[in-house]
Amino acid sequence: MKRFIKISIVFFFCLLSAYAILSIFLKKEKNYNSAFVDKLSLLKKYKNQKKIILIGGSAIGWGVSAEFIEKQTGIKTINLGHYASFGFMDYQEFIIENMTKEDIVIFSPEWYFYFSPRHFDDATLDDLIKNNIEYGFLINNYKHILRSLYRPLFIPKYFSLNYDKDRVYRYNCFNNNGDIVSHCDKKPTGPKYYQLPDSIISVNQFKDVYSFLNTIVRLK
Amino acid sequence: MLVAGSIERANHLLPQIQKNRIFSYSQAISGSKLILWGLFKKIVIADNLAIIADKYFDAPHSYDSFSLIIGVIAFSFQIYCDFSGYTDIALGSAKLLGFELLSNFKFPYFARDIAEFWRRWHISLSSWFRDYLYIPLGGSQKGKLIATRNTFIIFLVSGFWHGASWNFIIWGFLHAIFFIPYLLLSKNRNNVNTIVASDKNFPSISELTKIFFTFSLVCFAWIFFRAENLNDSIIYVKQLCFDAFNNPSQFLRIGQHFIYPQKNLNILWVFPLLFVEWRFRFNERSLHLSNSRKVNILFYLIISILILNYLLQTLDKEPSGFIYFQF
Repeated sequence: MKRFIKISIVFFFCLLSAYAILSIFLKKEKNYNSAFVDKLSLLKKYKNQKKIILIGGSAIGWGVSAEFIEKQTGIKTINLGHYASFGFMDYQEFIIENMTKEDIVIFSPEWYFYFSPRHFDDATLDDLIKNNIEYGFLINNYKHILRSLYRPLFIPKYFSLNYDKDRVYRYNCFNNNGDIVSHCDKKPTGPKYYQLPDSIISVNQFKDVYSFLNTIVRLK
Repeated sequence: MLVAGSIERANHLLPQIQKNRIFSYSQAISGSKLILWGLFKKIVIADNLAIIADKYFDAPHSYDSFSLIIGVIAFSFQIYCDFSGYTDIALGSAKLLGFELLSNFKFPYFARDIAEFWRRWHISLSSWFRDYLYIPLGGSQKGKLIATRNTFIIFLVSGFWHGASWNFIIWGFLHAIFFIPYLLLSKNRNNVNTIVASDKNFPSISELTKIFFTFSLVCFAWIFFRAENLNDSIIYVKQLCFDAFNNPSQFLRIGQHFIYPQKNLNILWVFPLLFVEWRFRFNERSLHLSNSRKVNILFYLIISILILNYLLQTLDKEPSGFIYFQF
């Protein structure tokens, strides 16, 4: 009996170790959510410097230009707006640790945070944690690291129908300030630059689709 | 309690309960191997093949002939892996506790004729029907006519045992039709107590042809077993046959069926399954892939990793039950 228990323990140890090693090597390709880890890394990079931090959901990420604010104010500006479903609870300690007393925080929560400030979506946060082991390391959360080691392995990519092929919601979608720029007609300037497909609609083209924008132009 | 099999006989099980049992290391290891292999067949193979089978059986009129062939092959292996996986888990758990249960499956898809298939598929139920229905009715001792009648009766009752539906009756009837020629030609006991290629590594062309023919018949009958009702099974068969004639070029574009939908690639699990079962085929209770201990350990480590992986993938989903729990 003792021998059997010993063998079983050794077998399970080998199984868990082999699985953990495989999950490090068989990584899922980075997706839109992975870009948030890079945004948080930006915050850490400028930890000791006076900065403006934009915090919110994707409305901030897509709609406010930290790059423009930085040019106008001369203060390093970082856009942390990415996905409202992440909520703020999971990583707010990390934000506090990487702030100085001179920092300016511009907080623009999505509408539902007004009645549920602790809101987050389990599945979305789960995707961020499980598929980005770097996130756990960055915010020093060993439980997250463990969860990312014991996630479904990404064996061959053709077995996953959720393969990240979206042209706008993708990993390489933001500039050096963390602004999401994959929807703009101007070329991003940061290292995450990628070629926009010709068929994508630009902000200026909206007036061809939405006639109320033309009305505004006429009024002017 | 085993709700789906093996169906145990009192004279086999009761003496084991009365006897004192002592823990045996080799029994426990062999039981653990059975549990792992059973879990692998159920969680990794059956549940993945179910995705394909469910899709094609839900709307057979929407798909071409080749897709429907993939669908029925997927179901053939799904039901085998589901039920034999369950049996292996039960056998292995019993072994851990010192009990030896009756075997229920002996690699039925390697059968060379339909009679051999029934000696290898759901053995405990087949032998129960043989002992409590076929033999009391006269078996094959009272001439070919009575034997033919008795064969029809046990297959129809076997179909009815699965459910009060025409589908199951026709499934049983088809198996009787497949079986009768062997009975009339006295060839139904040609392959008793032998396994294909018992002294070789590979089957001969003749054996392979027989296996393929038997498997095709079994697959055809599975259509009636799996479809929701008789009408659906007729639609499935009609679409499978007519579309093959109307659009034969689809068989030249086989690769396209695996590009979209990608889930069809799950059918590839059949190949490692067949490879491993071919290696196991001499003894369904002693699952040795190789004579090398290291290879065997590596094999069980790999299937455990795959089991863990699929368990983690399905943590947030409804657990899938065993098909035979409904019968």
